[in-house]
Parts: sequence; structure tokens; C-alpha cells
Amino acid sequence: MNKEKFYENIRKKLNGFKKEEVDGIIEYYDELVNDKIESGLSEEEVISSFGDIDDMINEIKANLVMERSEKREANVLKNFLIILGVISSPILLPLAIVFSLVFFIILLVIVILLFSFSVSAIAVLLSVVLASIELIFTSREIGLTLILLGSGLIASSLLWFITIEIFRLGKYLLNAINKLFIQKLKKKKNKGEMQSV
Amino acid sequence: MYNIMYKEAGMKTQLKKGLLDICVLAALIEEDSYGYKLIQDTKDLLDISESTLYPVLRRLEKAKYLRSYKKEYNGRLRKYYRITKDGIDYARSFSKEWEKLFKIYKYIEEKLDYEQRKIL
Repeated sequence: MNKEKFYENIRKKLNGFKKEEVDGIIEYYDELVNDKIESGLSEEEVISSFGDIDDMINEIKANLVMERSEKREANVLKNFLIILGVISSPILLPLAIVFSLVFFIILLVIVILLFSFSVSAIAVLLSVVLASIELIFTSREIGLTLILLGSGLIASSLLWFITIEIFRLGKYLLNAINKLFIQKLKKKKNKGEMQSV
Repeated sequence: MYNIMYKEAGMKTQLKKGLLDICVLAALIEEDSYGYKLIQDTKDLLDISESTLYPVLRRLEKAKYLRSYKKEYNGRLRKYYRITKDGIDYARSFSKEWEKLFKIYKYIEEKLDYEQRKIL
């Protein structure tokens, strides 16, 4: 394989990653390839010195997801799918199953919690507004109505606050699971070696 | 709770990650360097692979422990890395931390030695 073919291969296999991420990888490898050629290796030898390309790509993917997970704007679902793709080899199937199960159970719990809290937040808001309207028309007690409305708004915003916090905590948790499984994956792949970082 | 589990599972890899970072930084203290040379220079210590070095460099640059620049070499551009003041400070604090660890290591060795003599 010559180097152009090699880069084309990397690009193809990293399809779906951001352009700047892929460009960075290619630039890095191109420099290494040139340096290795200048140290006396042939192009062929250099390319094969990187080992199996699929192993290499899997490690690159895992590293990219790891890097993404450190950022706040990480897309946990997309990262999950990438990791699942990396694990998809038959030997790692048990790991893939455990990973998917853990991920989806937590995701399900979070979605249910988010749903119930946001629904109750809306329900509290609606009922309090309706009750206030009713109260002001039937009793004309402005003070009482304001108290009712005020406490309703506080309760509702509290519920919203909890909803948002659950969302953030959920994202954090799923991110942590992604990272944990990348580490597990790397440990499995090159056991005992220093490079299994 | 989960956080603790997570941390424990990752401690060993965390340690290795830290060692990689510090070795790459240390390799840059004397002079600026580039990918291939960094691998050659730290090979005896770490057996670092090409695909492992890349995220290390990215991480260190993001942490502002080093910065990169491109320089022409042999008709092409090569990316060089230079350690920053923050990077040197980090290396220094790391080495201080290990002085303490080394004392603990010696203490453990001493106790193990004692245990050994007791058996004999």
C-alpha cells in the first residue's frame, strides 16, 4: 500500500468524524511516514509498521471519543454508537452487550425521570394558573390569588430546575460510562502493555 | 458513588496516562522536538506507539503545557512542539510529588525486607 492509498483508507474509515479531527490525524501520520522514509524505510515498510489498519483505526476512534467526552458539548449518543462500532468484533461481544445494557438502562431511567418531572412542572403551572383565574372571578380576593399564583410559580420553576439538573447529571453519567468502556476496551486490546493507555 | 467506582477502575490507566504525559514533556525540556523524534526518544522508557502519542500531544497542548508550530524541513512542513512555562512547572511539581512517593516506596520495601527476615 502506498501512502496516498493509506490516507484515503483512513479517511474512509473515519467517515462521520469532523473534518478537522480527520485532517489532524492525516497530517500527523503524513509527517511520521515522511520521517520514517527519510530514516531509511521504504513506503511499504512504513505503512506496515503501523500494524493492522483496523486496529489502528479503532484506537484512533477510541481516542477521539475520549477527547470528545472531555468536552462539555460531547454528543453522548453519537459517542456511544462509535464505541459500539469499535467493540463490534466477536471476541468483544460480551463487553458490547454489557456496555449497551448499562448505557440503555441508565438512558431509560433518565428519560423517564425527565419526562415525569417536566410533565409535573407543566401540570403544576397550568393548574395554578387556572385555579387563580377561577379564584379571582369567584372571590375577587387579589391577595389570596397572588399567593396561590406565586407559590405555584415557585413550585413549577423548582420542578424545572430539577429537570434541568437531571438532564445534566444524566449527560455526565452517560459520558462517564462511555469513558469507562473505552478504558475497558483498551485494556482488553493490549493487555499488560505500556501503550494500553 | 458511581464516581468513586469509575475512578478506581481508571486509576491504573490514569497513572499510565500521567506517566506518558510527563515523559513527553520531559523530552521537550532540552529542545523542541517532533512526533517521530519524540517516539524515538521515549521508546526505551515507554514503548509508546504512534497512535498513542497523538492524543497525548493534543491533551498537553490543550492544557497549554506545550505549544506547536510548523517549520520547514526538507521541503515539507514539520510540526514542532515547545514546552511552555506551565509545562515546566507541571514537570517540576510532578517530580516533587514523586519524591514523596519514593519515600513511601522505600518505607514499604523496608517493611517487606523485615518480613522476609522474619520468615528466614
